[in-house]
Amino acid sequence: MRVSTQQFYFQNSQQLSNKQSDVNDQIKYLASGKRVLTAKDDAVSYGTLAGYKDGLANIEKYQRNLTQAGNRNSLQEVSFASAEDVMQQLKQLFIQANNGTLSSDSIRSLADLAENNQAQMLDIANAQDESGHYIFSGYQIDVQPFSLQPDNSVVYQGDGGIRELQIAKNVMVDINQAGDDAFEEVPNNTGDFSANYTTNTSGISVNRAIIASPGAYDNVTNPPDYNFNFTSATDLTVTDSGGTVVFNTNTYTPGQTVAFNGVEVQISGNPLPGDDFDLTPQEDIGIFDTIKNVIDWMNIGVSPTDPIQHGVDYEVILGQLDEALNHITSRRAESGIRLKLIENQVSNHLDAELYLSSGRSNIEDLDFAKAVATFEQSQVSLQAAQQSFVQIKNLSLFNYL
Amino acid sequence: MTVSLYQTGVSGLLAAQQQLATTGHNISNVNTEGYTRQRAEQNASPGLSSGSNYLGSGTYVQDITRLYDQFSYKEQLLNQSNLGEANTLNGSLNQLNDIMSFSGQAIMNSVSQFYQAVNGVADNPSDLGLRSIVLNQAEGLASDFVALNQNFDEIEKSINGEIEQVARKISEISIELAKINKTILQAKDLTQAGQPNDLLDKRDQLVTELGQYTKVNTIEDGNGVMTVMIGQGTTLVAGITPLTVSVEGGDPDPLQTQLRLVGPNSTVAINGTTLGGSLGGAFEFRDEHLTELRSEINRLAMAISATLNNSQADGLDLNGQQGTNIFTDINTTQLQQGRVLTPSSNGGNLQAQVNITDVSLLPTDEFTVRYDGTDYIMTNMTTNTSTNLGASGSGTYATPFGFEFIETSGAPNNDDSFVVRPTENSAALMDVTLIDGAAIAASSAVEITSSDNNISAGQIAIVDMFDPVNAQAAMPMRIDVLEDPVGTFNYTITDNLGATSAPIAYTPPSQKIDLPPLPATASFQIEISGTPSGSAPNAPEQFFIGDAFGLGNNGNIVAMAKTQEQGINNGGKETFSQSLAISTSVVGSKSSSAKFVAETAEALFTQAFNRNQEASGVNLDEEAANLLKFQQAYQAASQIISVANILFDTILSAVR
Repeated sequence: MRVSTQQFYFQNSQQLSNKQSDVNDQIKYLASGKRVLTAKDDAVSYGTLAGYKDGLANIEKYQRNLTQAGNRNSLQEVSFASAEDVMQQLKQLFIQANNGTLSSDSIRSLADLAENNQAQMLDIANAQDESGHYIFSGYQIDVQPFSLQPDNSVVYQGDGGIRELQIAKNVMVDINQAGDDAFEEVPNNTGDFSANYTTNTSGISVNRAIIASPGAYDNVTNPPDYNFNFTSATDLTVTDSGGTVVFNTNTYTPGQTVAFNGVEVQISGNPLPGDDFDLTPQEDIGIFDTIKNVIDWMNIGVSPTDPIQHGVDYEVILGQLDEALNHITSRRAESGIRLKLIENQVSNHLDAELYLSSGRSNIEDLDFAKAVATFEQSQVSLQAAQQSFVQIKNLSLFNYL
Repeated sequence: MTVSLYQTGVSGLLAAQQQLATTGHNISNVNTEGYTRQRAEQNASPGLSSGSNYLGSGTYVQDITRLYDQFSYKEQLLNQSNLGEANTLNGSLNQLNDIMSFSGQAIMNSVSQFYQAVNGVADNPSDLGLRSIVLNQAEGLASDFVALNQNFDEIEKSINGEIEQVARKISEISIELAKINKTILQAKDLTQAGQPNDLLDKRDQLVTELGQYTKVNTIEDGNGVMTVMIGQGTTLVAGITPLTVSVEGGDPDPLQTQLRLVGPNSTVAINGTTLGGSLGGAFEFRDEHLTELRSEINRLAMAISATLNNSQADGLDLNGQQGTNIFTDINTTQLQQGRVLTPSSNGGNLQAQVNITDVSLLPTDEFTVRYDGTDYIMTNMTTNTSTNLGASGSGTYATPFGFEFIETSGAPNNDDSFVVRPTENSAALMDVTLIDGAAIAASSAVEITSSDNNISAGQIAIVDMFDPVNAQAAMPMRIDVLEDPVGTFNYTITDNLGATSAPIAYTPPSQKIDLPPLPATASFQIEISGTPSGSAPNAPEQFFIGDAFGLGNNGNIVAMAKTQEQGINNGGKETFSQSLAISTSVVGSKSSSAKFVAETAEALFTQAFNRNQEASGVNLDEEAANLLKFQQAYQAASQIISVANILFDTILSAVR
């Protein structure tokens, strides 16, 4: 086969330029440490690679959200822990105050301490985060949630909003607890109704008053408040607010369950004729109301006008204090549960991050051993082409003429 | 006899001289592009009869021929065109691949950072600093799209410039070829027996250069005049008449320039894609690959703008107002009108525009709408399927592709056609229209809370928001659901004035309800799902809907943040980053296969070139040997003359 001189040079220059471009490419890969610099380098795997990078970016976003959510829930958990302590102290004070041998000055100082506890509780409920926003106001974060009224009651001015953050593709976590849920909606120890005693000579007290079957309970036909009147120890008449008699018995035995219209009431103690009390619907009793009740009870002093009723009230308030304490504890547990969820998600994301990172690295990163070997090979190949070109160019008949 | 010996010697000498001249010509032209080596064909002179014998009378050079193999030349020409096309595509696609991989990555980063900022506001909705960071990132995102679009514009401009330059080159070559044809014809007219080898070489070299730019076919007639055809048979040089190629702006899109063949009396349009060679490659790149990629990026920009704007409209900003658009509205008049391109050849004066109704259904294809006298027929230019939109005069025509074709003004003439590009300009005109961070709608308007006394497995959720401010105004509301008797579910709506509606039937497993109910205009939509039964007519399941606006409400911005991972494009299957990754991979794969095609084309061309060179190329060693050979022949022939001289002297001295 005949080879022309031009062909020889053309072919050789083509080879040289191809080999040089090979070496150039290898240098590009070695310098960046990546096998896939642009989509052209591995078009088939590029889509997967982009997916891994996307996943890693998302995990970073979730980690940030997790940090924020963790901070906020920790703050709440700490707040509820303090609230628990305050309630414990208040309960101790209350138990102390139920001592017949105390002087009125001692009771007064106990009442002062109780008022301190109220102030502490108010402070905790009005806590602010690092930006100055109230953490227990729901969505109304610039409005102070609880404000003390002149009569020692507390009014809630926030709303019930709960904020969420996304911590995984399908997982949201709450980052606040609304003040109404946390401090206002403590279940009534008695049930669904509270008792107001008009006359209580025997010391009876309502143990339980619940709406047992909501279907039968009709507060339109027989609206509350329900008045319980004992004309004798066995004679009980219950009337609604319109005066209609809803229950009547003359064989009342102490401890018996009084049932009417789906409502069940149980009274402890032996009633005496003339005992009268009203049942008002009250599902929840706020913590601040309970605290106010404690302070008011203490301020009555050592000589109450109605010592029997005073004693009944003590039991009711103590029961409610326990209920309040439980509620705070469960609120604290709620924050703890969220923190646990956050912790789990953090470790889930770390696992996913590891898997995604290694997937990404498998596709994108350069196998240095292989790359350096290829580079050496390309280099040698270029050198060989260059040297053989130099050798062969000397072979010309003209050199010998 | 001596005389004839003398003559024989001289003939040998002259022949050797011509051989040496030819060899010298070959050697000097060893590096000339397109040079075909020449050979002097020697023939023995016919014998003269002398007595009963024929005595040979030397030699003469019959012809100096080019060693030209037209078959291997044509093969080389064909492969040259293929190589030109492959190289152009490889170069342009490589450039596009680089741009997409780097600019595309920048866009992905911008999207990521934007959503990071959005999540920051979700955590702390009333912080003005975090809100303004969101707007900053939005501006970064918009400017990335604008920059990418500008890159595409630059590439288009440079390809158009390349096309223009090549067209000019082709015209120049055409004129040159015609001149050479003329000279060859004249040379033939003078009945010169020899071949004008160097002219032929020059002509072939010009044809080879032309072959790089387009596919070339040649036909030579009896007089040696060559007719040159480019592409699929368009005549460029008709004998001695050259035609030129000019470039004109496209119609209706002026940036899609087209070629015209300019003859002495008329011009004709040429379809650039069928030309082959680097022109064919340039047209294919510009009209197919670049256009497709542009359309995809435009669609992505539109999807991002539309999704975030819709998210804004569902919520309330810091001042309790309904959220306004954060990016340019995708249906501004400018954008709508820019989507319909009207060719100047249309007779009627219809102005039309396109309104996008559903981004998830939009394809990246181009459409043509043609008025056939009664109806508008819309054809998808990629799949070639047609849809009949309906008779003219209706104003707005819905299509199953997520957009509407709207007659703005005027009326069409029979056979008028319009080019419809639903995604046109979305990336170029993307901009952030919000300036105040407080205008980001982080808060949701209304919220549903279930009563604590609910006992069954049923839920109500808000699934769509139409008018957040009016939704707020309708608060508070209550929905009561009751199952009575077993299997029959009814619900009642109690409005903000306390009036309760009559029971309305609810059929599980789910049902959507517009609120407030008729006759009021619906502001939002809820969905009852499951089986909320309640326990008795006095105790139904109760769901309270209330005004949820607050500085700390992050409901809407959490929903906005979730759009990052929602499928939006392509029927709701691709998230934004997935769309971008797919576009980038497609370009990468095209670029990678273009590289292989170019490598193959180069190998094929090298083979064809080698084959051609085998016959026609100059080999210096061979010529050096020939030099020696003809030098010896010359020396030997001059020896004949000196011998003839001696013989003459011998005769002369014999008769003295």
